[in-house]
Amino acid sequence: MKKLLALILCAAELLLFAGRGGLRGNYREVEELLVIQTMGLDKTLGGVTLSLAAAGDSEDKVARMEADGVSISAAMERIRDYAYEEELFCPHIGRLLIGEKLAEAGIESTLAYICRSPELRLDMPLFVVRGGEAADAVMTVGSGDKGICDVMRIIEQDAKRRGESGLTTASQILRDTARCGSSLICALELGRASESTEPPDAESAAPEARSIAPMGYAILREGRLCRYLTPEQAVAVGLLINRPGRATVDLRDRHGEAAVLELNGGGCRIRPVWEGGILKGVDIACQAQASLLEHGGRGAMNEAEDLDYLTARLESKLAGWLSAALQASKELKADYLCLAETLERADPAAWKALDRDFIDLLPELELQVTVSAKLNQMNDMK
Amino acid sequence: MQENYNARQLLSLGAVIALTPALRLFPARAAAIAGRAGWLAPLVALPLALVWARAMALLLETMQPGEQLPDTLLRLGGRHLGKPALALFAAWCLTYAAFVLRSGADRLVGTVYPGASPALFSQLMGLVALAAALSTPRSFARMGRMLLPLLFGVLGLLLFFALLSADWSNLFPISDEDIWPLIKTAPLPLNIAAGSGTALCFLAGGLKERRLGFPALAKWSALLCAGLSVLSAAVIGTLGAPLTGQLARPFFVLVRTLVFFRTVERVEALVVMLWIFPDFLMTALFFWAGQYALRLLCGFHPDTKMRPRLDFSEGRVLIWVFAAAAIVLALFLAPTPRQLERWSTVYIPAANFTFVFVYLPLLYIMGRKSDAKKRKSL
Repeated sequence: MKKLLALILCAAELLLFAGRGGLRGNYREVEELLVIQTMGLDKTLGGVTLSLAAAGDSEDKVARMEADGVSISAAMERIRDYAYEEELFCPHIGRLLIGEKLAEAGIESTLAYICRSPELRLDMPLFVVRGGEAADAVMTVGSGDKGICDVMRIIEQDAKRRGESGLTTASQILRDTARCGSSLICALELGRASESTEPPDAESAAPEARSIAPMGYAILREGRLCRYLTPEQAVAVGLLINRPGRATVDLRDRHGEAAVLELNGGGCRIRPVWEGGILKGVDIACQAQASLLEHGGRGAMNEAEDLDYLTARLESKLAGWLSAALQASKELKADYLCLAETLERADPAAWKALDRDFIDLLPELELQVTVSAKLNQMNDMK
Repeated sequence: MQENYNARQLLSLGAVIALTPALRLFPARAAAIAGRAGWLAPLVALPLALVWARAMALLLETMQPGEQLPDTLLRLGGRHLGKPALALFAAWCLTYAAFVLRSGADRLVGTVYPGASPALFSQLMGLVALAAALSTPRSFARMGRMLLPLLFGVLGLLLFFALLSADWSNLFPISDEDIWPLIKTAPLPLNIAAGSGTALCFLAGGLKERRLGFPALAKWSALLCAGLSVLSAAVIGTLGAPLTGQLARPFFVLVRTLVFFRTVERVEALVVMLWIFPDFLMTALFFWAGQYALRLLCGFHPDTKMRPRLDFSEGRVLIWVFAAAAIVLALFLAPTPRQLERWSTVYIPAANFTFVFVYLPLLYIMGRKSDAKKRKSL
């Protein structure tokens, strides 16, 4: 028995060393690996541009590389051939940035590549670079020893801190596209960095540092980018899918002074409106909670009218955002919120009797949005 | 000769070998056929699995002391059909062992060693299984008992983390429209439970205590169906039914996406390596049963005593021949992924179903009729 177990373990060891090119083909020295963490993809005339970046190390070095190819694999081979870096190690790629043109052309083949690849993960967040190219973001964002990987890590941590709905992964996009025909993908926008690591006197000589920031979502219909949702509409999406994140809302009080509220909870109850077995509309009842973060007026806000006014303003603003997010769904005939499933769950029998596809009904549906907000915290001031 | 293993060890072996078809076949097929309701299919199959348990218990009751299942099949088949029936059994064992070698190798290539040749893995696994088949069935039973906590511990941990991050809207709602797809999916878990259960009964003749009865087999089937349900709920809940249905190995894709405690991730290589053990036990078990049947066919009297591995008496050379044939068959079986998919989803399940629900009941009925005739003539 012991001998048999020993034999099996020996064989398992052999299997561990087996692989491409013979018994030791898969073995690599960890010191020789360049761990790629961010991948970018853009569409070109003849194929794709692939860009890769590793995190910066203590020697002020951020490794970034870029190559064109007729396919992702061909571009990857080209990078491997021409890079003077160590061996590229891709299983720890943690995010994929997609250029706007590629997103417009469709990301189905990209998703299929992720599914098929033994190295990439399906729970990897995907981002579309609004109005730009992924290669631009991968190759230029950052300064000093900070590169795109560090910036993206901060963005992802921030999104997770703010709430559950912040990031859209490859598996979510695949799943929502299969279930509802449409999905959301996080959008990013390139811009000038608000931080510089260069000394003040060298600032003029150094190229302008660039950074990247989250900019709401983009709607993908059948895998193709068809519209962007603003960051405000992204807040509405969080409420509609009952996973609201933390977000600030700028308002004016009844004296015209600035007030900033922070949404800290809420959600929507979505119900179908039936008339004689025909789906006529959708009733969306939203509840939101917020706290007062900042008030530019007299400091204290102890009159009931002040609070009622702010609450009413908040409700009105949220109703506008919710309506805009839902309107986009109607106009594009893109059920990116998977409303169909929610409505089906509310009344499966009536849903079964529908004689038309929901997506054909969607533009004709009346959307009734009601918002009820509550200020649940005033922080340290009354 | 009575072997030194008990029913608990044997049932543990059955649970371990059931992991091979369960992970290869079930979540993807269940999601493809029944969609988000696929995880309920094992529960729909449970009554039929209990019927199988009752039928298997009846078959095991016909075993004479000192008999192994191939001996029983030969006896039940009678003078005319016994040998052809046993030849069919040996051919099934050969095909299934070769298929397990081939599909196990494909899993390693697809998940950990892209670009490697599956032939290397098939040969290695075949050689290790040969070493086990040269030993006694007691080794399999005891190894099954030893491996069960390890494999189910790892599986439980993975499923726990997967269910924590699962999206429940991928699993609900279930409506009456799902009933027919669920009924269509039920043969899959039934095939897994009945196939693995029948395979564990290959060794039922060596139990040191009373025979494997209906209560033990029924409990085993119920637990296996519940396990299959949880497994598919975790996979479909995490990946969604449409995506699960499209993936070749959704369980291992799920493992690839799991993150444990911040930085502990990408553990799929470790998990895939652990799944060598069910493959090994399944192959060894079919090698053992196949060579036993082959030796009976050739007129030898095989036993389950521990003998030196290079002892060629009583036709033991046929163990080597059988293993070599299985390894060679594995090298030529389903050379393309499309063919392997077809073997995995059509040919092997159909053959397994025929073996469990047609071949064995027919032999049982024939044996009972022949017994009744003998009693009458006496």
